[in-house]
Amino acid sequence: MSTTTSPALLVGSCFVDASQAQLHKKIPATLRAPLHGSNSWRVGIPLPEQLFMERRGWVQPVCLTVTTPEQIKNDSASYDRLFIPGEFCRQGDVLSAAAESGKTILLERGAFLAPSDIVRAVEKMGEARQRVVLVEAGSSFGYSDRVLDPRALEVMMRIGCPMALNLNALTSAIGAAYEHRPKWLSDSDFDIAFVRTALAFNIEHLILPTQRELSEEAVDLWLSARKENL
Amino acid sequence: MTFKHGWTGDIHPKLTLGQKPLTVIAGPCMFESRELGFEVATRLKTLCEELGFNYIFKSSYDKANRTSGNTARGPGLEKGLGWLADIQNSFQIPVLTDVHTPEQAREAASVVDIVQVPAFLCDQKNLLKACALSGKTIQIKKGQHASPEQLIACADYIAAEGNTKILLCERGSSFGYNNLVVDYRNLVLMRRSGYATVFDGTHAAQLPGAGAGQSSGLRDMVPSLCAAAVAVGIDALFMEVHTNPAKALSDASTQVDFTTAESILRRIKSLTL
Repeated sequence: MSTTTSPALLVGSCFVDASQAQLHKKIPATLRAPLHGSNSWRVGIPLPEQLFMERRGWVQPVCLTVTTPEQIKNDSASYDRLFIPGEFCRQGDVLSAAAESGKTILLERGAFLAPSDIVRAVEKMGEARQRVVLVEAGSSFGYSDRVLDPRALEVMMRIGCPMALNLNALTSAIGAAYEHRPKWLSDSDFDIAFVRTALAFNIEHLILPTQRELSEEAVDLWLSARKENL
Repeated sequence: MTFKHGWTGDIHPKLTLGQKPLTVIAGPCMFESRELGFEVATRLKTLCEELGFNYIFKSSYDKANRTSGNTARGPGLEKGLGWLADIQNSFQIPVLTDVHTPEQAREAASVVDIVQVPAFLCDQKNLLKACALSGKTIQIKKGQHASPEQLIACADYIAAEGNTKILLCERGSSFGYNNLVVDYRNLVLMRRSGYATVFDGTHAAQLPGAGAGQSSGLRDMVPSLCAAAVAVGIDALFMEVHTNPAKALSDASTQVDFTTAESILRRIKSLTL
């Protein structure tokens, strides 16, 4: 995904499963597949390399989630894009290494970071900011919950980078179970609202949910709205 | 007294956490110079001895996640660890520093008594595992975005790797943009979990990013935040102390000077009797 290619691109999930392959066949997509999720509670269950290579055949290009400078230096050559999770959006060494890699960088705003402050992270990328896609994944809203603040989208879009909306982060339970967390939070009921929001703001990319399929209605909404761009 | 999984709180031959007196973890935010570290350690060790507190020195060799890329980061790993070792040996006190990658965890653990996992990275399993395997005591800062249950689960993850010497540190939770609140219920939940519990009184006063490209803060709130934490119940108090906070190269709005540090310690002394 260069930052100037099709705005209809969907970005695949962290742990891609077979059912999502059908979706990826419908539309240009990037497979986002680290061999394991370093901040996932499923760490230790990495996607088997053989399976990963098979899925790599389904979907091109491939995006690597990166969390250390060493990982970027050692592994980025084999991938097409780099994804920096929100928790790392201020880690200077990670940002510098990603900038030096020459790859397109998906930079996620940390849920703890004010939208206006993500510009500092972009500035840390130097000239590489031309290759940055900003990823919005919601803002901390109490424990184990996030909200999608339209003001954040507005502020981030003014920075001038292409944008992605991370449906995975916005609709997944965060971290360990929080006993006071209302049951209705963060479920697929909000897929349509988030996709509509992305379309309303002309956001170019979506990151798909990890643990489940995006509803067919949400997929159709996205595809039909983006059809002319495919 | 023992903590979860039977840890006795032994951090250093001269310091066992959890036993009276209260332990104070304090020092400059950034290890700006060897001289600064020695001056702060000298003053705080003397003060803590006078007031009857245990003392652990803290400082950071690399502020790797500064708000802006145009600010100082510190002396770097090699020089910083050398200075920490000097303080450890000269004063015969334990020292703490923070690490950002598994590689740093392994290197820092060769020197320091406590490796600290920064708040933003509290969920990073590779980092937690590296800290666990270092064999050193580990302090995990609770992410501003994390629930207390999430932090306790991170501690359980470390314990499952065979290292039970764990401190949980509360430093405030995101409360809208550029603001933190301290939820004192977390201290109760953390202590109830059985892990050693620490309160970071200076970072809890931060207003992240509110200073137009740098973190701002409410320094005048630090004494009350600390007193409330001690009143609720903690095993150690963490705070950043600088000879001249206004001139500090990081966290200039929240670090406290010696006069304030002494005032805080005298205030909480009465709460720990």
